[in-house]
Order: sequence, then structure tokens, then C-alpha cells
Amino acid sequence: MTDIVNDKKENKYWQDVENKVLDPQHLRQEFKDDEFDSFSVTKTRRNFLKIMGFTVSTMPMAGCIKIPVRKAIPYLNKVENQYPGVANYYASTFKNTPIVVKTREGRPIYVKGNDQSKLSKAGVNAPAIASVLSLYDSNRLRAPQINNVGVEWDKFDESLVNDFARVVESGKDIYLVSEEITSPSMLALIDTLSSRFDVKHITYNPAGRSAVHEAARITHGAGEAHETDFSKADLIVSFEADFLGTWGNDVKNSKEYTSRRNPDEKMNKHVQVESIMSLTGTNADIRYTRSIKSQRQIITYLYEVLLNGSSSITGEAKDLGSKILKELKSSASSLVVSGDSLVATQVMINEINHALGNYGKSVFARESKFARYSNGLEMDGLLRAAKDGKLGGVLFLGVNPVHSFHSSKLVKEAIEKSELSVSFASSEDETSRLCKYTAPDNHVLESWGDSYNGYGELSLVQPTIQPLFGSRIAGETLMKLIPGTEAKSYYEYVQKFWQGNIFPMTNGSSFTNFWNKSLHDGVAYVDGLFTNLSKKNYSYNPVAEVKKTLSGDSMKITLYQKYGIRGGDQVNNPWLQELPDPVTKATWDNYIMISKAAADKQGIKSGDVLEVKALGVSVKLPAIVQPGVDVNTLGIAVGYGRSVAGKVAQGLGANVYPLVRHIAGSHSLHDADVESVKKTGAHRGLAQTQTHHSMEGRDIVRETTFDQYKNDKKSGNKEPMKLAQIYPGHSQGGHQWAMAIDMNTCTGCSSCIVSCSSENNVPVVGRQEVKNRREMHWLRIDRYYAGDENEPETVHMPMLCQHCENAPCENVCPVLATVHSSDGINQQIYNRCVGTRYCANNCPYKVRRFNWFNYDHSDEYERLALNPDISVRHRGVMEKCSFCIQRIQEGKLNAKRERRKLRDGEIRTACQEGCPSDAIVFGDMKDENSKIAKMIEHNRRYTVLEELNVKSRVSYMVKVRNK
Amino acid sequence: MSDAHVSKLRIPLVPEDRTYKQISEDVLDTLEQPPTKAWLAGFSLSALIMTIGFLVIGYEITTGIGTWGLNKTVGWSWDITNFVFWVGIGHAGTLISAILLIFRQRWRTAINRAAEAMTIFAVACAGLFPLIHAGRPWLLYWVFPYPNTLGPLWVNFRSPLLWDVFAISTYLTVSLVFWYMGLLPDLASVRDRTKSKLRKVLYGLACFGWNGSTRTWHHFEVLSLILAGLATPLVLSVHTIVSMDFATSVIPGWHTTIFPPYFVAGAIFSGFAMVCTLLIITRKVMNWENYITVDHIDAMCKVITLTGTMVGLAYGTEFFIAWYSGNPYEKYAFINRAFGPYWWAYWSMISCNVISPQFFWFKKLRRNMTFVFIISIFVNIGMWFERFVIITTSLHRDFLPSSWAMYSPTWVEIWTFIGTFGLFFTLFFLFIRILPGIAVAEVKSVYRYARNNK
Repeated sequence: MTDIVNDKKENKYWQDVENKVLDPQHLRQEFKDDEFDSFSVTKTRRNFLKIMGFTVSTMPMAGCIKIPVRKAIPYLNKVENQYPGVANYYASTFKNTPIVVKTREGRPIYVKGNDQSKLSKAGVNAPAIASVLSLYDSNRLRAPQINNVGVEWDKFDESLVNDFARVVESGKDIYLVSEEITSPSMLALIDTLSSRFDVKHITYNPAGRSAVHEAARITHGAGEAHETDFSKADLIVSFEADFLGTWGNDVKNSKEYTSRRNPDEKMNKHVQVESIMSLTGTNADIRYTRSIKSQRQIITYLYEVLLNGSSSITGEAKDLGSKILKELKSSASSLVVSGDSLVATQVMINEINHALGNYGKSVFARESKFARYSNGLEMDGLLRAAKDGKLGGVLFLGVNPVHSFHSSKLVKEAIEKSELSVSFASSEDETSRLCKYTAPDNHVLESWGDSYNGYGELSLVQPTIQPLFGSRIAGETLMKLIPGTEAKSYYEYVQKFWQGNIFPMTNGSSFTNFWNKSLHDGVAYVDGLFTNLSKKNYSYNPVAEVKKTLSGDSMKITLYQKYGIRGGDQVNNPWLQELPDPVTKATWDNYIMISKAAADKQGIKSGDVLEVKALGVSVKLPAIVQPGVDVNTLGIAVGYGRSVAGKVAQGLGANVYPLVRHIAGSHSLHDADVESVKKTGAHRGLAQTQTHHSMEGRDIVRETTFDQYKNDKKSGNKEPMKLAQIYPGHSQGGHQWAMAIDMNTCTGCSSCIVSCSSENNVPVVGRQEVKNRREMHWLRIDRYYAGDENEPETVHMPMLCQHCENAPCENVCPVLATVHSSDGINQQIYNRCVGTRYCANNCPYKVRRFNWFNYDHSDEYERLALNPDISVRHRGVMEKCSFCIQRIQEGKLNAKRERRKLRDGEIRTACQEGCPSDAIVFGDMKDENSKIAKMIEHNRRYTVLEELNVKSRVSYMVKVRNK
Repeated sequence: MSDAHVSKLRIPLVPEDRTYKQISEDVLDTLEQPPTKAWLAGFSLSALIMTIGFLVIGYEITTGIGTWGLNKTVGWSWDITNFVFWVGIGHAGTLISAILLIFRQRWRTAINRAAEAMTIFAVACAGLFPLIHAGRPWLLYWVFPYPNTLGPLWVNFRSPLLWDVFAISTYLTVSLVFWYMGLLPDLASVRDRTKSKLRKVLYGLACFGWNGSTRTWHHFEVLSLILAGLATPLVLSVHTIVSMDFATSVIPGWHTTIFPPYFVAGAIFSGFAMVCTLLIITRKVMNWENYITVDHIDAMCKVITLTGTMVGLAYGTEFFIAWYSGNPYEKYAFINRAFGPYWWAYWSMISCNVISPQFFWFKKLRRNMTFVFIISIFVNIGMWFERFVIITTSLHRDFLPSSWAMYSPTWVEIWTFIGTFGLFFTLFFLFIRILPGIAVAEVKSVYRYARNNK
């Protein structure tokens, strides 16, 4: 509480009665009459009775008085621009994705995309949305640590600076190991450190695209940025690259990709060749299941034929290769990408794109001095230095190599051998445990910074809250190591950097204006951020390098990233853990994806724990029999198996980073030879949100092909049914809310689920409860397979409350806890619900969610992420999608206050905002000019389970495949 | 009861070697004597199981419905299965006392008291489930249309669950009144016979000062007929309305117009089976084999065969319509019932409900008490499975395959169900100790002309 205002000239203000009574001076002034003296009990018997009577009669009265609620709003001095109940929005950046952070009463609660960005165009992905929950992770360190013991920052700095100076003096090597650095100012700071103290900088991203960057270095010289534009390609051929999920900038890729999925315009064609089923693969028009080996042969074929006119490759690879080549040649524009982690493959891909004339159109070799991308091979330098006894110090910035480097033993030894070891981990991890110093870094939402997002886009990172725990931004800790740094804080450093380096590149006259505008918009576009590179001559022989990997026929392991968890830096985030994988629909675990054919050979069923031996490592994980996996490939996600992590990630899955193989000059994620796969006899049931994968021939997802669609705009769709009804419809108010979902642009990525959970306080229930089929998500993505098990066709269908006009849930509730609003929304009234679950049973779409328990919101930090506009539901109550009623209400009120009509698109639901591919349209269907009204008139529109005559308010657009 | 002509060919309902006094003694003496060991053992076991059941329910209510095995797809399973099961059992009592009274089926007199008691206890067990299955049972009084200060909030008259509230509470009230009214002359007999002063006072209060005058008997007879008239439609309405919980929904497998008659037949079927189970035990334990005779059991077996066959016909009709309607969801629901993952439940139901009562075509088997007892247990099991099959297999795979899920009960659900048996038998044991288990006055009325028609 704030102290009483202590201004001597004025009256002392009292805050409550207790405080006031303490001051006798005031008391006397306030009650001058001494009227209470007449109640003195000592005077007379008559007075005594008087007081008795008074007391007896007033006591019951006092008991009846409602004591006013004291509202504890700690704004004695109001914060500028902050109004209780009104949200503020700040532009920032999360991992190269410009974001807008919504804060309420000073705390960030929700993240959405930034519409000012020309790259992400308001798009956002699940990790970015979920980052707001990581901010409140109570596992974060409260103070810096020396030898794992918390200390004060002053003491920490003193000790660290001394140690650093000593190591520098000793002349031994100091390494700074970081993730990919895309922050221009951070890069400058590291470069200063390098130049002043000869600190060697290594960027390292174990599951990243180091092969792509390394290949660009080979084919285009110093080029580190290999940039793509999926919107410019009529034909996309992707080998193993999950570009809509985890390969490259998925938000930008999704925007570009789906901008070409409109069948009323010129639709692109997408061919995917992959060894395991990826999110991108599920969206492909034509998909081939092929092992990495086979893919490399196909790529070699394409490379050789395009460059030399003939190829040594024969057999099946040649057949498919020539088929793809024919398509590529007949296509006006194309783009070939590969997710292979072998440098040689990527070199060939570059050559193929070059030969097809794609450089400068859909793919770009560019160099920027503002970003440094990973090249995992540099880690070897550090390990060698440690072996030779030359390693003096090592700093780990944003990386956890003890967990994520394939030979973590060597990293451990290196840390033990170095005199100075610093980790900047914000919560304890495997690496920080071993380091002498741990300087917890701020969460990105507490930080200042900047980011070069590629493609000539800069964006700023600005804090939305004071550091919650005792952390300090890493840049500031690094600044302590550089004596005489001008800037006093990292904020100042960033600003000075922009003033000195970015601002001169603009034509502007005032830096303050430029800075303020950039900060407001979140993004800045400046010419000259990169230079284009042209292909150079080199002596590298990719065919020979690839051939090194093609020997043997053993089963291989494909290491991949799950859409939510990625490399594992947000593994302790419950939203991401509970986010069903877009392909397997499994939550909370990593597992071994195995093909049906391979599983049948050994009688393996989903959930059987397998022991896989490869590269001398044994991994025990449950199997998941997955359609679309190559028979000779096992797929396992990285990022799991943390031994030192928060309560969420602890003990989940197994670490498969040791299965990264050093081969042909690459750290390959695809080359671990399987020595044996055995059933252990144990069983670990997977927590999947969907266990039946066939549509059973039902009319649920309608689809057609592009060729058919061009001839008949109604192909794949059916005439709307004419159904009669007994009851009169609901009264139709001024607005009629409706939603349309375009299944042609929905990639199934599931970001919308996280966005919805964040907006609507949807509880996380944990692994066991998901296994019990009780996840609470208001929105789910149904994923169905069709056709062959080896090469299935996949469809994604977002399913949420359909807000039926004739809602089957409404008439069955005995207490009217679910009713219809005049603007067409099926409302759930939590307070009124007694929990008979009849509504959920009678819901044909099964979108209602019941609170089986009181879900935990007791974590005092985590609960800060709750949206105050939405109540937290009690156990025993039904809940479901509300069309973000709070946003509708807010939008209507804003329009009313400004005395205008509601604009179309003004109200956006959380799922709509979370969608990076603009698949969801929401609006007032009564407004004829609205986008939603046009969607409803569209010939591709239909509603699911139309024959039930529930009159769903959520429309779907027929999926069109370009095959 | 007035005299009526009865065929001389009929076997007398009560053996002739008894006097009125002996009849009173046979039935009412047990109330005066200390409980037997068998009774004590049975009662203690039932009470123990009931206690465990209530503790488990307490755990469920304080922790959440999550202690059960239900999920996002299967929102009801054992809870409502048990509810319908117990309501069904509660059907025989009123049918025997009301409909058979109206149809002048005199053989009912020896068994109607116990059957009615069973009805009330079964409805009590049934009533427990809607209460505890709710997520917030402490607010369940909202289902009653009471005047309140909650503004426009009232009950939803379109909801079958609300109809249930009315149907069950009406049925319970009428059954209770009917049963209690029938008890009055016998309670007076107990009052008159007892030597204990306390008992005299208590039974005296309980029989509302019955004086046995003609006027009293006249009122009694008239009221009996009126209540029987009121109760008769209830026998049909209760289960009709329970069936509407399902029939009015949209879920394939639930949304079926055949449900009301099918459910009523099933209820009578299961109710009679339960009466058989109970009475075969009671006549043995209480030495009432002279009153509850093999003829009674024989007659009830005929009803079981009739209703069991009706139920079997209904099963067949459902399948036929599923195919004939051409509705793919309906079709799948029924194929899934018989051949899906819960096939064992379906075939248990068929064997218990359709096949086992067919044995009762044979008189020899109908009169073999051990055999009847076993079959009656089978019918009870089968009827429980019928509700499980209808509720669970329809829900677990409905329209969108993405939500298809499996259900299995937890120990909490299993013990809750066992606990209701504890409650049922505890009440039944108390009943045969405290109240006359056979309607003495009514048996005497049929006894006389059994003798006259010798």
C-alpha cells in the first residue's frame, strides 16, 4: 500500500478509520462537541439504561448494514494512459514475428500479430501466443546464481567481472555460444565483446536450418540468409520441409502460401515428398511418402539432369524425379525447398532453384549484417579448445547445449574445464546447473531489443511489464563485461544503436520521430538492410557428399520439431504441451512415429513402448502408428526428455538430440541408423485428442479438385437442403453473428486453439485428463485421413460451437442455462448451469466442455495471465465457444460511444486473430456488404450436418485440391 | 374386499388349512419377535455396503464428476444407466397394486405389499442418480419451478429432464401414498396385537386411528380404487417420460419414436424380475411359502415372458428401422452397438433379455424356484445392460468421428452403484422387520372364498 500522502502544508489525508483514529489531533477536530461524553456509563443509572437500550437496539441494526466492499485499486497516483478495465496494446517482437501485446492493468495477457508488418501481415503462431504464459512461469529464477546459489546482482556482477578479467588476462579462449542472433543491437554488442576481448561467437540451433545457411555460404559466398517467397511460386516442391509448421518463418510462409490457395484465382500447386507426416505434408495437393535416402536420390536426379542433362540415378527415384521435373519445367514459376539437414542436399536445392530460374523470383540469396544464423559445426571448435586445455570461459546465451547438443558429455566436460562458465537461462536448465554463473535473462515481454526479421524488415522489442522475477536482460549483463560502455541500460544501448546505425540509413530528419514511430508500429522498413548475392563458383561436390550418406539400407530416424514445442525452449509452457499436435493429435509427449507396415511386422500398436537403439544410444518411447510415414523411417520429436526443467516439462518424453549424427560435414537430423527396434512390453497410452481418423464416408468435409472446380463452381458441394420446422425461429436482432472457415486456407496449424485458450481462460487439464478425453479446448481441429495408409490424403476441419439457430443443446437444459441471444449466439450462462451434461450429449458436434474438476488457477503468477473480462469457471459447469462475446460487446460499445455503425471486421474473434492464414472470417451476416455475408453466398459454402436442421451459424468452404 | 365369483377350477390362492388368526400370526408375529440371525446378517451387510456407497458419493460430490470415467463425448453412462435401471425396477409395484387391482387379479394380494415397497425403494435409489450426476448438485433445486427472486430465470419446460422431475416425483408421491394407505388396516392389526406400550403408541399413530368400522373400510376401498386409477397412467407415463430423455434428442440410437412403449415394456419386464428375485428370497427367509406361492411366481414368470418378448421385438424393430430409414448415422449406431467395441454389452443384453425368458414357456421351469431365481437375476443384468447399451454406445460414437471416444467406469462409479443396492436392501430389510410384509387384510379377503369354493 502506498503511504499516506505526507505533505506538511496540507491536511494529512487519512486512508481509513484506523489510521485516522491514530491521530488524536484530528480526532479532536473532527468531533468537537464531545457528544460521546454524554454516554459515559459512570454518570447515572438512567444513562446506563439509555446506553443499554441504544446498544441492544442498534446491534441488530448494525448487523443488517451491508458493509461496503472496499475496492483495492492501487492507483493513488494514476498511471498515464491506463484506465482500469481498458486494455492497452504494445507492439513488440517474438522470435522474428512482430506481435502486439494486450495488457490489462499493467499485465500482459494476450498476444496477437502485428498488422503493420509487411511480412507477417498480422499473422502469429502458437509459440508467440503462448509466450505470455511463459512470462508468468513460476519456475523462472528469482535471482542470479553463483554455483547454483542465489545472490544479489551487485555481488554477482563483481564476481563475474573479476572472473572474466582474469580469464581474459590468462589468454585462454572465451566462447559465447548463442542461438541464432537476429537482433542487430545484440549482434553489435557481441561483436564489441569479440573485438575487445577476443570472445569467439558461435551461433548454434540444434534443430534449426544450419544446412540451409551453410549451403548458401557455399553457393553464394558470404550469404547467410536464404529467403523464400511462397506466394511467387505456381508450383511448390518441398522435400521434407515443414514450411507451414517449423521450417523457417512459418507465419510468413503460411501467409504467402495461403494467399495462393484461393480457387477463384490462380491457385498454386504443392507437391510434398517426405519421410514422416508433417503439417505441411497434410496440406499438399500431391504427397509422396519417401525415405530421406530416396529423397536425396530424387534431388540428385533433379540436380544432375538440370545441370548436366543426364543422371546416374535409376529406378523408382528416377521415375518420381522425372515426374517432378516435368511438372517443374512446365510450370511458369516454381520453388523447390528441402528440410534436409545435410548441407550437400541444400547445395543441390540451391542449384536446382538456380537452374529453374527461381532466384530473384521466389528465392533470394541475401546477406545482412544485422543477423547471424546458426552453423552448428562451429561447436566443434569449442569442444576442441576444451580438449586441448585452451578453453578459459564459455557463455551460453539462450541455448542449453547440455540438453540439446548431440554429444552433451563433451559439452559437460568443456564447462567443467573452463574457469568461467555463464548461462543466461531464465529458469534452471541442464546447462545452467553446471555453470558457475547463471544470469537469468528477462522474458521477451519484459525486454527491450530489436530484431531483423529478414526481407528488409526490422522490428522492435519493447517491454510490457517490469521484470516479474529477479531477472535482468542478458544484454545488460554482457555490458557489465565491457568497461566503459556508454549506455547505462540495454534500452539506451538499443536506442543508441538505432540512432547510430539504423537511423542514418533512412532519409528522416528526426531520430526521435523515427524511434517513436518504429516503437509505435513495432516495425521499421529501411533500405539497404541486406545485399543481394549472386551465385559464385565453388569446388564443393554435393553429389559425392550425398553419396556418403546413401550406403546401407537400415531404417533411419527423422528428428523433427513439434509445432508447438519446436526446439524445446518453451517446453515448460502448459498451453503448448496441451496443444494437440496438428498431425498426430497427441499432447504432452514425444513418441516414435512408425508406419503401419513396419508396426505390423512386429505387432506394434500405438502406445507400446519401444526401445530404439541408434548411434549407440537407446531411447525408450511409446509408438504411434501414423499414416504417411515411410516404412523405413521412424520419426521422433526433439525438445523433450528434460532432466532439469520446470514442473510441466519434467519427466516428459525422452531426449533424442543424441541421435543427431555428424555426417558429411553436417549435423544431420535425418541420418541416425537404427540398430534395433524392440517392444519393451510396457505400455504408455498416448494423450490424444482424436483417436478415430476416418470420416467413415460421412458428409463432413466436402472437397473437390481444382480442375473440376474450374468447370463447375459448385463441384464437391451440394444444394442446400430445404427443411421444415415446427417452432418459429428466434427473434432476429440488429446483428446476426456468423463465422465462415475456409478449409482451403486452413492449414490445421492449431494456433487458433492457443489463441482461444489465452483469450477465454480455458484451463489446462494435464496429460492424464487429456488421456481421459477431457481436454477443455473450445476449438479443436478435426483431422481426417482418406485413401491409402502409406500415402493418405488429409483434411483439417476447425470445429467449434456452431451457434445453431435450432440448437439441440438449448431445449434440453432443464434450468435454461444455455439460451439463444437475439443476435444469434448460443450463450452458456455459467452461473445458472447445474451440470447435467445433457447439452453436451445432445450436441451433434461435441464441442461442449464440462469442468470435471476445479482446474488449478492457484499459481499466483500463472493466474496473472487470466483475461479479466472472462470468468474462471467452477467445477460442474459446462462451457464452450462464445464467439468471443466479450469482444462483440466491446466492439458494440465502442461503436455506440462513437455514435457510428459497427464496421465490418472491427470485431475479431481470438481464433481469427490467431490464424496465420486468414482462414476464419467473422462478422454480421445481416450486413449485406460484410465479408461474412459474401462468404455465406459463396458457392463453396456449406454447413456441417445440415440434415439435422440445426441451422449452424458456422459455415465451411469446400476444400479444393490442385491435383 | 368384496366377494366375487371365482372359477372352481382355480387353485386356491391361499392354502385352506389356515384360520384368519393364523394368517395374522404368520405375517405379524415376526414383527414382535427379536430379529433372526439371518436378518441381522443381511441387514448389517446391506447397511455396510450402503455406508460405503454414501462415502463414495461424498467423495464424488466434494471432488467433482471427474472422479467418474465420463468424458467430453460420453457425458452420461453408469449414472443414467443406473437411474433408468432403478426406475424400471420401480415399475412392478404399482403395476401389481394398481393395474392388477383394477383388473381384479386377486392373486396380487399376497405380493403387492412387498412389490410396492420395492417400488418405493427402487425409486429412492433411482432418484439419487439425477441428483449426484449433476455437476453442482447443491443447486439442483433450480429444476423445481418454485417462486424465486432470480428475475426471469425459471425452469425450461421444453427440457425432458424437467419432465422427468415431474414424472418421477409424481410417481414417487402416488406410490408412497398408495402403499401407505394400503398399510393402514395392517398397522392397526399390529397395534392391536402388540403388548409393548411404546409400539402400541407408535403403530397407533401410524395407522391414523384405524377403527375397523364399516365406514372406515368403505373409505378404504373407495380410496384404493381412486388411487389405483391415478397410479395406472403413471405406470405408463414414468417410463415414457424417462424414455423421452433419449427419444427427443438428436443422437442416433437415442432419437427413436419406439422408445416410450419399448421402455415401458422393459420396465415392467425388469420390475417383475426384481419382484421375483426378492420374493423368492423373502418367502424362504420369512417362511411365507404358504402365502407367496409357486402360483404367484408362475404368474409373474408369464408376465416376464410376455414383456421380454415385447422387448425383443423392440430390439428387432430398432434394427429394421435403422436399415429402412436409410439414415447413415442411425445405421452406423446400430451396427456399432452389435459389432463395435461394446459388442459384449449388446450380446449380454440380447441373451439375458430375449433368450433367457423364453424358458418360461415351460411350466416346469416356471415352477422351479431355483431356476426362476437365476433367470430373474439374468433379466436384471440384461436390463441394466440394455440401458448401458442405449446410453453409452449411442454417445460414444455419434456424428463426427473425430470425437469418438471410449468409456470405462472408475471405482467410484462402481461403488456408487453397489452402494445403491446397499441402500435398497437396507430399506427392504427394515421394511420386513417394521411393517407387515404381506397385506394381511387383503389376503384374508381372498382366503375366505378360496375356502368357500372348496
